[in-house]
Amino acid sequence: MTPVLEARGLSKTYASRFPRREFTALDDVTFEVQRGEILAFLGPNGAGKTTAINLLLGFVKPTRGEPRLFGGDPADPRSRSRLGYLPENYAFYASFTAPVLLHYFGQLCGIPRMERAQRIDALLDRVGLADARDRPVGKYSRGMRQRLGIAQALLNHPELLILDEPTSGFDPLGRLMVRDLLVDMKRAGASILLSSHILSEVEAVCDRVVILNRGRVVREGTLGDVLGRGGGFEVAFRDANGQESTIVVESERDAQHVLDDVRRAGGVVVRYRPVGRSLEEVFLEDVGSNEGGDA
Amino acid sequence: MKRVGAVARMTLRRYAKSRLLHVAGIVAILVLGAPTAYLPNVIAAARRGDAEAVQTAVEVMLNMAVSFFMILVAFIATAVGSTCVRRDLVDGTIYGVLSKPLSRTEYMVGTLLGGAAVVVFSWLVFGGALTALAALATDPLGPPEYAMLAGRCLQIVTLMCMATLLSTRFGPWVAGPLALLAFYGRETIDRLAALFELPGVVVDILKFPFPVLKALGAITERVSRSDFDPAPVLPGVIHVIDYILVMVVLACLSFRRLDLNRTSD
Repeated sequence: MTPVLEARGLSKTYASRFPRREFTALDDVTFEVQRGEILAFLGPNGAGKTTAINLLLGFVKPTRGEPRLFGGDPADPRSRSRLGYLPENYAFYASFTAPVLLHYFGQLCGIPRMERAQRIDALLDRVGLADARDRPVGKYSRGMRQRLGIAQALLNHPELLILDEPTSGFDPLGRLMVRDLLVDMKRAGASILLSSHILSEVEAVCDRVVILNRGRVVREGTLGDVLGRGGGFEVAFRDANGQESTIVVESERDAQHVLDDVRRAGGVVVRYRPVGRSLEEVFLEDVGSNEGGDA
Repeated sequence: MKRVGAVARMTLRRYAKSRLLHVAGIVAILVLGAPTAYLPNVIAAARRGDAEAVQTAVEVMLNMAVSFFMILVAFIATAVGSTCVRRDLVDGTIYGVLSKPLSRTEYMVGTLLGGAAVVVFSWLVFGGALTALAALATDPLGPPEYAMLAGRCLQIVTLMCMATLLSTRFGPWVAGPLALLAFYGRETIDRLAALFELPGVVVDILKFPFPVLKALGAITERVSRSDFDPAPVLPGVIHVIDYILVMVVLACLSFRRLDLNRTSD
């Protein structure tokens, strides 16, 4: 099956003339987003995430490599008709209200007027902006602008969502709303590229992970693989004498044998979990030494 | 075409709410009032019964009004042209717009149409004021004069397109002055040619890329004098339309090649 989004050996080098200097923001980056999956796109500031997204959307031309959006050229507007994109720190025309802006984006997506009005009402309800619909966007808080950004990204019922720091500026309730939304979108069959620094939230929803550092992919795989799950299971138990012990076994089958033995011997299982690290630990291990600015 | 129309309408609406145009409107009102400073001279001449002095004073007032308005509209065109695309690039609104199924050419054409609508609106205000002044002070304007006004309006749209083209590569404070320099390129080259005593052929070659402004310049003479010989308007209009099309094509090409990184001026 053709991936909905594909980066094939993407490289981007910026050059300044005076003084002559080159800066490689991305170096031979390859990854893909398959239909119906949530891909976490992670990296520290300056790793090249935003540059990669800009290349994948056709905003920037690659020095080498090829970006593909739904199998086509991202510069072709038809490729973007099934796309929803939320840039980091989304900026709007501040003097307009949310419905006016959403109508404008709806027109650009070619959505008929009546349908547009219905979708806008539903989306403003969904992102919690219905009460603020008559206020100019310039008077919105950062979180409210982010909600509007999410609404515009969902306006055309996208098959692929690219979200760059979607929970930036949100309170915990807002973050929960975004998480629910991601789960709903995935259930509806949409694919999502999620770039975020809040790793606990990413870990809760993503299927696969790509970690970028200094313009290169340093780790890629399913969440289980990346976290090291499948490498072992920890069983902690208290025996009939009340003494607590911990055993680590390689496979789930071995773990089941241990659990059965403990129960047969009259013991109590205190803890049973896959042995692995959190996404944050993996991330810090991969990029811990990086010191960079924004790319 | 619907998408181009949507971008054009949004550009027009943005400038309608822009402080820049509100300030320009206030200045326009002040400009309308400025020539009246010369009114005491007219009244004094009329009291003396000096018809020739009255006529001269009226001409001075009209010339002042026309000159002020020309500067004001050129300022509006330059400001709109050098900010209409640049502002989207700098504040980042362009990322949301271009993530929709809209080509860069559609975006550029739509923005230029919206900007042109702002300039034409300003020009209509100017034309209305000029018509009123001419009707009060000399003879009412006729079809040749209106044709010249329309031609002049197109020239100002050319200035706006030139500023937009330059703003795809430079910030507004560079693109604006450069556009003005290019717009008045022939006059600039004439002055340089006189200074360095350049041969005529060289001067003609240097002048070639710049618009011929004098083709539609007789409007100023007509307003202040009634015995002028109207120049043929059509060739001038065709020349200007040609020029606008070249600017639009160049702006689209330049914008298509642009890497849309976050920029700051």
